[in-house]
Amino acid sequence: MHISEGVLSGKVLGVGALITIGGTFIGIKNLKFEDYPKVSLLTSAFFVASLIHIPIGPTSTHLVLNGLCGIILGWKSFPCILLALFLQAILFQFGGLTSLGTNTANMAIPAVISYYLFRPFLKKNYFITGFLSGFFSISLSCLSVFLSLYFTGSFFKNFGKAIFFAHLPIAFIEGIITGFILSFLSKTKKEILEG
Amino acid sequence: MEKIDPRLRILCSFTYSILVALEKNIEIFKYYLILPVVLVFFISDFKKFFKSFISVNIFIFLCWLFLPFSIGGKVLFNFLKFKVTYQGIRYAFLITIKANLIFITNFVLIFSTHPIRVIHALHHLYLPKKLVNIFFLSTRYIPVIENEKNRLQKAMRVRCFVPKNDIHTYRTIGNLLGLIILKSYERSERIYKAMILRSFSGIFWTYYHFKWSKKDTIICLSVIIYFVWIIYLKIK
Repeated sequence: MHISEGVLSGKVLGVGALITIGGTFIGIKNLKFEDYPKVSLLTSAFFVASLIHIPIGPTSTHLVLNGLCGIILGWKSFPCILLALFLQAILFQFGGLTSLGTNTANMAIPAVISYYLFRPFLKKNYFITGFLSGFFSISLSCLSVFLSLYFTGSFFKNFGKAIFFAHLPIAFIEGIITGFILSFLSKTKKEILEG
Repeated sequence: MEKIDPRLRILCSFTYSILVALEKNIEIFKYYLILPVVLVFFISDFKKFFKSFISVNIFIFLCWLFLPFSIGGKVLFNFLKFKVTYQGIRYAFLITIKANLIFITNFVLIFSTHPIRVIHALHHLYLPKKLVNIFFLSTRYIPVIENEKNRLQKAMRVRCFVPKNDIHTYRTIGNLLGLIILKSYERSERIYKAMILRSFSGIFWTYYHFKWSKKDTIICLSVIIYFVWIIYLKIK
C-alpha cells in the first residue's frame, strides 16, 4: 500500500501533496488546546496498532485502521495519518518522503469519507457500521492507490489491479476487526466514539 | 554526520529527493550519483541499512514483476508467451535507480537522526505550530503505548493465545486494539490534567538549540552549487 519513492510522476506527487496540505490544514484549524493530548495519543495508538500482524491465509498482514481513525477523529485523521506515515517512512522505510503526500491522501481521504458516511449510523449497530467502514475505507484506499499508479502511466494498470485484488481479503478482515473494536469501545468507553 | 545541522540536512535531502523524483532523463543520473556515493561513506549501521534497503526494494521488486511486460515497444525476448520489451525494462530500471538514490540520501541525512530531532528541525523550518505539537506529543508517547501493547500481548501468550485464521482470533485482536485505544485515551486525559497543572500555554520549550557553524555554511554552499549545476545540466 505504501508507494515507494521515485515511482509516481510529478503531477501525481504534486496533487497528492496539495490534497494532504489542504486536509491537514482543515484538520488542525479547529484543533483546540485541550485536544492536543487526545489527538496525539490516539495517533500513537493507531501507529502502534499498525505494528500488530494479523494472520491471513498462509501469510500475515498489518492493519491500517483508517476507517476507525476516520470515525473517531474526522478531519483530524489527516494529521494523524500524516504523522504515522512520516514515522513509518523514517523508521522502517515503508513508503518515502517524496511520496508522503500521495500516500497520506490515499489513506486519509477514505477516512474522512467514512466519517461522513458511517458516523451517523454508528448508534444503530456498532459491529456492522464498523465492518462497513473498515471494508469501505481499505477498498477505497486501494482504488486510490490504483488511480495514482494509473495516472502515472497507463502501463501500471495490471500492477494496480493486482494490488487492488490482493487487498480485498485484507479489507474484509480489517472490516471484521474494526467492527469488533467499535463494539468493544461501545461497551467500555462510549465517549471516545462520541467526542 | 550528527554534527551537521539537521535543518540543513533536511533541506538538502528534500531538494535532492524532489529533483530525482521528477527526473525523466536517464543520462543525467550519473551526475545524481555523486551525492549518494559521497554519503555512503558516512553509513555507520550497515545492518540497519541492509534491512531498510530490502524493505525499500520490495515494492520495486513487485514493479519488476509487472512493468517489463506491460509497456509496448521493441520486443527483446519472449517469456512464457509474454513479451519483454526494451522500454519496459528501461522504465523499471529508472524506477529502481530513483528509489535507491533517494533512499541512500535520506537514510544517511535524515533516517539516522532521532525522530524528535527531525521534528524539532521541521519546527524551525516553519511547520505549523499545532502540527508540531501533535507530532512531538505522539512521537514521545509511541514507545509508552508500544510497551503497553507488548504487555497485553504477553498476557495473551501466557493464556496460550495462538493467532489463527478464525473469528476468535479476530475478535481477540479487536478487543486488544480496543483496549490499546481505550488506555491511550485515558492516558491522554491524565496528560491533559498534568499539562494544565504545569500551565501549558501551547508551546513546547526545548532545552537544546541548533547551532549553525562555519562548517555548515561551507557544506550549504557546496550543496547549492551542486544543485544549481544539476539544474543547469537538466535545462541544457
